[in-house]
Amino acid sequence: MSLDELIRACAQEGDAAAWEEFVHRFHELIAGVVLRTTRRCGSNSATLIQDLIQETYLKICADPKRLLAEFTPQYPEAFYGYLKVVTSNVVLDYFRSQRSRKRGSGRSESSIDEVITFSEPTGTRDAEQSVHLEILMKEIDGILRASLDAEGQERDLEIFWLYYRYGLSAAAIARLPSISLTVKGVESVLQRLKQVLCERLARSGVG
Amino acid sequence: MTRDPQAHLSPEELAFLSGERESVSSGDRDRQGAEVHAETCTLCGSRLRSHRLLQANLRNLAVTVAADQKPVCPPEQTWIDLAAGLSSVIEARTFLEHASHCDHCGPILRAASEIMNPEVSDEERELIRKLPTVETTWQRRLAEKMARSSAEQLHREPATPAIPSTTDEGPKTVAEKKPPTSALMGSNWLISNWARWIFPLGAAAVACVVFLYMWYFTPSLSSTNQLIAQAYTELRPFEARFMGAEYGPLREQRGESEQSRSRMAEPVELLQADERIGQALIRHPQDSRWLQSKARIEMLEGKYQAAVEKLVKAQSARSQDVTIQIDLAIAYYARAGTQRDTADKTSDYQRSLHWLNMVLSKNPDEAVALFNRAIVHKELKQYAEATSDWQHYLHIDPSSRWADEAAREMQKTNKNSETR
Repeated sequence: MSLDELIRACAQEGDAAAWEEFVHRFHELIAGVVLRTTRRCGSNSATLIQDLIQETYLKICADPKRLLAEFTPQYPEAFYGYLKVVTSNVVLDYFRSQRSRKRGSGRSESSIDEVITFSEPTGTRDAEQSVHLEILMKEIDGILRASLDAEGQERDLEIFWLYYRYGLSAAAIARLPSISLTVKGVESVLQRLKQVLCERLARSGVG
Repeated sequence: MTRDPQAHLSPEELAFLSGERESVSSGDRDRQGAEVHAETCTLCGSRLRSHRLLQANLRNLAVTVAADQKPVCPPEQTWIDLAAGLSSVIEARTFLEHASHCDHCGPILRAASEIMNPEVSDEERELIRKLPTVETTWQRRLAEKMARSSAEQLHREPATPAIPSTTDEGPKTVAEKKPPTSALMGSNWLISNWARWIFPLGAAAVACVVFLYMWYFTPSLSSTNQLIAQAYTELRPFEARFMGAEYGPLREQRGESEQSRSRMAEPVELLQADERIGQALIRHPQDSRWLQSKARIEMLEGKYQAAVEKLVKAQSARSQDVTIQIDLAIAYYARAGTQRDTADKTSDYQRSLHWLNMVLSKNPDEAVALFNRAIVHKELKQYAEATSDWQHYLHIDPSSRWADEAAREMQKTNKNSETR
């Protein structure tokens, strides 16, 4: 059964066999997102993961109209994206509500950074180090801007900062919609910019 | 394969020896051979020292924990949608520009991109395999529940139109190219030359007539927008202000379904404007200015989703246009009022705030944006920010009827803030 036919059978006919096929086909995708988001929120409980997987499926089937609306046969990737977003929101909403229950506020408006855990910082920075880093960042930005052609400059700088400052992998950057590069392409940009910096910083003695 | 001892270090070797992350190509990893070469070659030794110094500096730049959110930060849902590939290229461009310089949004984008990673690792696959959810009996039971739930929904709601199938489209027929025929072939010189010119001249004349007709009959955009502004003043279905509209008291609460409105009850200005926009869009279906006007009408008619879609399209054509940014903020604000899910509601208010922040970051005294942002802050229960915006607004506009309303709202906000 094609994806197109499967979505129709689920959303328009409410057919149990079709839904079973749907669960089977998207299980790895949904379970993968639930697993990663739950871990990000600080839990490894298999029971909780199982409950959240079930909740995700029930949320999806509760709005068959939406399921149809989100699916465009020409762009199946967007449908996978939709399923991932629904799944991660189910998990985040669960942890938000847990958090607000703990705080007793009754509101589930915690921001994402309050429920997910980030990797530990390598060490705290004092004011002097922060100022030094601020200057270094400006210097790096200036060198790169001066060395890059206007065309594609902004994109290359975005790649640089997303990779070195915020730790996105080259693969994650390549998947972002406006980047339009393969993983190799992103790696090549990073190598090129690093080379520029290396030459310029060595000459000016910065660092 | 051992490396040539005389060969200078390749970029890959420099990256590897300077301790750069694994994700950047590692290339030839004859580490010992490369290290020996770096020790004996002055040029490569110096290069490696520079690389190591730079690498240490770059490592220090890393931000792993999200800093506090700033008013200009887009809603956090943005990063989840972006990492899942649901943002348009135009939207993504704007958002990435922000994320690459924001210590709040950058780490969240990283977390979102890790969550949305399409590759399932072996370790994750193993964990998933151990869950009871992979068992056929579990999946069957869940599928039965899902079937019941979706069937109930289908009975409750009217039938939805079928989605277009990729197989529905028949094979495209290619029109056969007919060889050009000339009835005048073999005629005398005068006739053939006359014929050579008469057709292009005739076509040009027809084009001129059509152009003049269209120019004369294409309705004026500014007068159409004036009609919409008048209709807004008469209707004013939500607190947020439209640009260029006179004051009008709030008539009804948002959330009224669009089906419950009758076109007969709509002001005549709205009907006239809608007719003009319809004419213009037939001729220029992609014109972002007319799409924006249509979106304004849809907002007055309670069709907020349709308005958002049109404005997003218009915004992608005129990304720096402040009027579209303000309209988009109004559309998200209005749609928030109809959302049942708290997270969706908050997300819409945050989107509205994002666009208003964008306008006000360039022009802090933009009165309509300030007025509207105060309202959005109020909805998000950010009373201190709302009060600050009302104060700023009253400083710019101390005496209009909008100002009276702003003063009343500021008093209410202060009370809410105290009782909180």
